[in-house]
Amino acid sequence: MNAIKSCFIILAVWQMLSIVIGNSYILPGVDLLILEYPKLFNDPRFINALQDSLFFLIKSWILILVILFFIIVFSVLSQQFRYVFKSLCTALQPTPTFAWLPVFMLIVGVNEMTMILLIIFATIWMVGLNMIAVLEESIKQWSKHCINLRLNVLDSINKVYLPSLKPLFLANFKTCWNLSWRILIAVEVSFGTIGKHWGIGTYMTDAKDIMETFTMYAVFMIVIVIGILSNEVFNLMTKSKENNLN
Amino acid sequence: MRLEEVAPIRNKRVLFRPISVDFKFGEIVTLMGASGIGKTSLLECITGNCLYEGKIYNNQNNFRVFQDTEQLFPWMSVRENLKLVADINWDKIATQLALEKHLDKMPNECSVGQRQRFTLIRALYSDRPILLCDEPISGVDYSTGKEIIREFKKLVKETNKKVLWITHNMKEAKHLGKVITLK
Repeated sequence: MNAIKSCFIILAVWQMLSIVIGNSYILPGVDLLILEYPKLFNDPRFINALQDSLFFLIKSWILILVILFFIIVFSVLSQQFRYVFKSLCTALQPTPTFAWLPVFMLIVGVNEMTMILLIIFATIWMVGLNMIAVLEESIKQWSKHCINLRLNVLDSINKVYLPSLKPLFLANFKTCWNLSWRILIAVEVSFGTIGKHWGIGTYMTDAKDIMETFTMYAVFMIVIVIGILSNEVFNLMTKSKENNLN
Repeated sequence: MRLEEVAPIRNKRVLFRPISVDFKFGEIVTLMGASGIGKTSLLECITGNCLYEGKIYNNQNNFRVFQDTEQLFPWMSVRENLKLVADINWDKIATQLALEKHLDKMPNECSVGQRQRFTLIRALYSDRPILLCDEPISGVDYSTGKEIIREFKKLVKETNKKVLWITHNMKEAKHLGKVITLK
């Protein structure tokens, strides 16, 4: 419901700005954008670009989740690891993600790997730090209960810690997805063609380069809508878990 | 379990006049004292987390500690919460307390008083013979507390447990039976 509301507000503001500016080549109205979509969805280049972006996003996201899984497991097993990782996060989190781009280009070359590393670096420190914080909080809150109820390690993990962490982990997965989406589009817009990756961001830049302003804005709108919708999906998943915990 | 002239020591200072208590099965012993006098410290002496003078007999980690901060796990139903400690006929026990229709609810669907009753029952039916309750009903109002105590006393007799109940509330202590005041 929030997603629909957000979309309507964006469209209304868009239309108002378009009227104020009064030049459809700078900011076309919503009506012109809508007329652009049949053409866009009939263009196989656009469909490919959209697919490429989404596949790339899912691929990076899964890779990040795997890395996070190992970080969490090692954090539970070793306090030293937790300390080292937290220190690393504190040191690296404030570094702007794009500052790493030349470094990665130099190390792994100009390819998709650079983009994956960039996305991982943009998300892993903040989300990793958050997940360790919620893990520590959960242990602090529930460990006494587990001891008191004489639950064994397996039951404690399965019946107490994992369910207590589920909504918090989901919230972090959402942050992870959102950050990945932002960085991916930013990278595609700026360096997509250089990195031999051709996604929705690159399509947008190409449309601008050949003065297809309406197409550029139509794709821009799709980028916004995908962001809102994925956010909403995660919100729904988190909400159903949180309802039981309040 | 028996306490003989026991008093907790904190910062090399004995917190209150030593007390002696003999616990009997099916009986609640209430320790009452003003806030800060050292009631919880005494409980920590029994659990082995605080220095003390005197002697504590039969201290073999066969106790279960219950504090008012203890809660039902919010992600599982009341019945699943209870089943964590014992796989017994919870319907029968809940019916006795007129709580049977709340058994399959999630904890957030129950009132504070109902949740408190269920956590207390869960503690009472654990496999340990001694239950140490540290201000267990401080979060509920007087009339609900009175009702909980009435039911709890009945269940203590039934389960034949030894219970140490710590409180600062004189009204609460009045309903519990044997009271030892800390000075």
